[in-house]
Amino acid sequence: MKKRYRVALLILVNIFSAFLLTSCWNYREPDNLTLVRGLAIDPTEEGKFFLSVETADMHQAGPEGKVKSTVIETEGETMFDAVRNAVLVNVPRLYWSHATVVFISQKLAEEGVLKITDFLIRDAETRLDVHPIIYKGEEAKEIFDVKPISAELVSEEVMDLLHAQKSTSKTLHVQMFEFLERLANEGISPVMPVITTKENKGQKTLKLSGLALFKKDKLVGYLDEEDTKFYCFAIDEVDGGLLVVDVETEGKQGKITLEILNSGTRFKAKYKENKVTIEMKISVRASMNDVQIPGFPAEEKDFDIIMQMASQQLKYDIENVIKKVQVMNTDVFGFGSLVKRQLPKVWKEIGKDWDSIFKELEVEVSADVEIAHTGLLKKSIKRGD
Amino acid sequence: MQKEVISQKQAILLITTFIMGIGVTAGIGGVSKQDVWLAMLISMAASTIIIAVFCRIIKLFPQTDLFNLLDMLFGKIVGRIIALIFTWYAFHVGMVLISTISEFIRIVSLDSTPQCVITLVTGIVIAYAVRCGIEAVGRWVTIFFPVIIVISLSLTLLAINMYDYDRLKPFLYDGFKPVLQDAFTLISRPFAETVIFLGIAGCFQKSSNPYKIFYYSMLIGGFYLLQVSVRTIILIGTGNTSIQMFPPYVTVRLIKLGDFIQRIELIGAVSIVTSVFTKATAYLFFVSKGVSHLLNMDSYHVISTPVVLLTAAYSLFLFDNAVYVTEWAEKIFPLYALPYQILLPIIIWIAAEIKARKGKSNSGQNLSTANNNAGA
Repeated sequence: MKKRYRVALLILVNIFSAFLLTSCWNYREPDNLTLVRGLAIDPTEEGKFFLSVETADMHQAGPEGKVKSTVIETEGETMFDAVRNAVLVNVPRLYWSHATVVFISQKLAEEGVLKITDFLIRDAETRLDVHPIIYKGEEAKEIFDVKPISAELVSEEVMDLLHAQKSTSKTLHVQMFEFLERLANEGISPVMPVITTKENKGQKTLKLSGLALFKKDKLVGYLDEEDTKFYCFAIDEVDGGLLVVDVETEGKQGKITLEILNSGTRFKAKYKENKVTIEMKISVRASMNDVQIPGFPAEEKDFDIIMQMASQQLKYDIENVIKKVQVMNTDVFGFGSLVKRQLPKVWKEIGKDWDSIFKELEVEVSADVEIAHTGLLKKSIKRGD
Repeated sequence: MQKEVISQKQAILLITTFIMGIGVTAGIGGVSKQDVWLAMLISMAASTIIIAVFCRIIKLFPQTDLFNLLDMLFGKIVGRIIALIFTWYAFHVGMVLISTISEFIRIVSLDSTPQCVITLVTGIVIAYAVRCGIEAVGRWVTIFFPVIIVISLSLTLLAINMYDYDRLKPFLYDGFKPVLQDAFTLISRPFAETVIFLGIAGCFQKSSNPYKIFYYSMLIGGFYLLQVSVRTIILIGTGNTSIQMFPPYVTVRLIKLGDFIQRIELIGAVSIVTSVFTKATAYLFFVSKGVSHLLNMDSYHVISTPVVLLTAAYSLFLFDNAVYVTEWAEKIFPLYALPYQILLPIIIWIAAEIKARKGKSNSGQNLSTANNNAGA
């Protein structure tokens, strides 16, 4: 009797575990889902949200595995309303777990991005590692008119572009949770990468172009590609990229390009006589490439000259970016949070006036560029006259 | 009926997994933010005192579970009233745990499944575990404990290139008060919650050392929780952690290593659900034992299924939504649990100490017969 009871119970438990493990209540086959890869958000004139959703069309994915990009356009009072309204034009529900990028139109970002981020982080399907990007141009939906060069989908192409920028450091790789963490903390303002379209051989293509700077959740200004590189030095996010140095010595003049091998920045906040100063020490190891001066460098001391000039120019450029950002008055460098970390007592006093302090903040930059090797050549070619 | 016995190792693993079961809720470091590690260490240090009380009770009357001990110390009537109060407490917390598991499963994956289905299925699995007895659960834990540990440590290692250690600074920015507040919360949940194991202590092997069992579990479980909470902070930062419902789960979602190790959150969810399941099982063991004792039944096995299903059914009406669960766990539970975790154990301990002295001075015989009766 007891044994039979046990067997019955065991079968019952097995059946119920099957229910628990399969998640089949709202059974959805992958090929009946619309896989969202990217999303572009525009505000409409009535204050609604206009979404262009780029989806990977799985139906036509043949054995070659090529997916086609399909764009679904939808509109609603709120983000979620707009997403649900997509069912009016496309039956299979949008599936958000594989969304990688969100293009936000300039206009919307100027009004504030909090309106759209909440849906993107609250919903169980979307992920915190989605990449928010500002579209610089008329309307963000234009971006899906572009025909990508190497990938099938615009969103995938943009992701590839973002990942490839390690070799230029001319943009910053920002994920949603990083953006939000900067937004939530005091003494640091968030940034987002910027994308535009440009002509390439008569066709529109994508182009990453620098950074968008935020004050709280509102877009306040831009940095161009070159400035972005120096901004990256100032937040210690440089993994690669080039330094073009103007060399002028003993009648010789020209450009030398250094490739950054690695770079590190050390920060120190100081408080003296009721004034905060930030000390920033940058050390760069680079290799010499692309020398445009005939017969230079010839001797050991020439390298010292190049290193010295490179360091000076780097210092000047970084100071320049800091000044530019100080005019926009948004602390995207996180100097405030640096003070908070290193001098918490000082921050308690001055934290609430940080906006006005940041405008006049003194930053002492020192740069040290070191040449590690010179490529395949040991000397530059001479003109024989 | 033969007495159930679990070995010292099984007891350690069981209590450790029980302590790790906190990981599902936001509870860790609600107010202390980046200083959560300090709050954790302080609470571990502070809870050694109360855990010493539990151990001393077990040491004085080994092989005796809480309910028989209460009868012995306070007489049939008062002892049973205390037993009833304890059983109610375990029943209530058991409800909270079942509703935590079902809310978690519902929010993170089965969003259209009615909650009663998830609750029922969870309840049946727990009922089966309780029915099988503590020995079976002890053996089960020896298999699943390594799984949980390996999963959690490998998740920590996989995320290693995403850490930003600056997020642990500034140290003690808001002063010591929030740290102490969190430390207090952490004592009540999970460390002092191990009071529940007084009810199971009768099953500990004769040769096992209660101090070893409890302190080892507290250390392993405590450092596991420390690792999870610090990982959360240095990965997503305090701003994100404070708004998330299940921060450890969210961090797992972010892990991405190349193109092939990504979207592995279900593995993390499995380890979370497993540890909370162990915790709920321990609580419902206690309830079943308590109820069977109060009703003068020989064994708790028969009563376990109705008890667990009743708990599961009630858990559906306990909270209106998941936000209340975390609110309750963070704000009300530490105070609510105070009498059960600290006050009553201390009273029991004092009574036990007096009884043991008396028994020794009168004759060692009384005590040993009482023990034999209780163990039978």
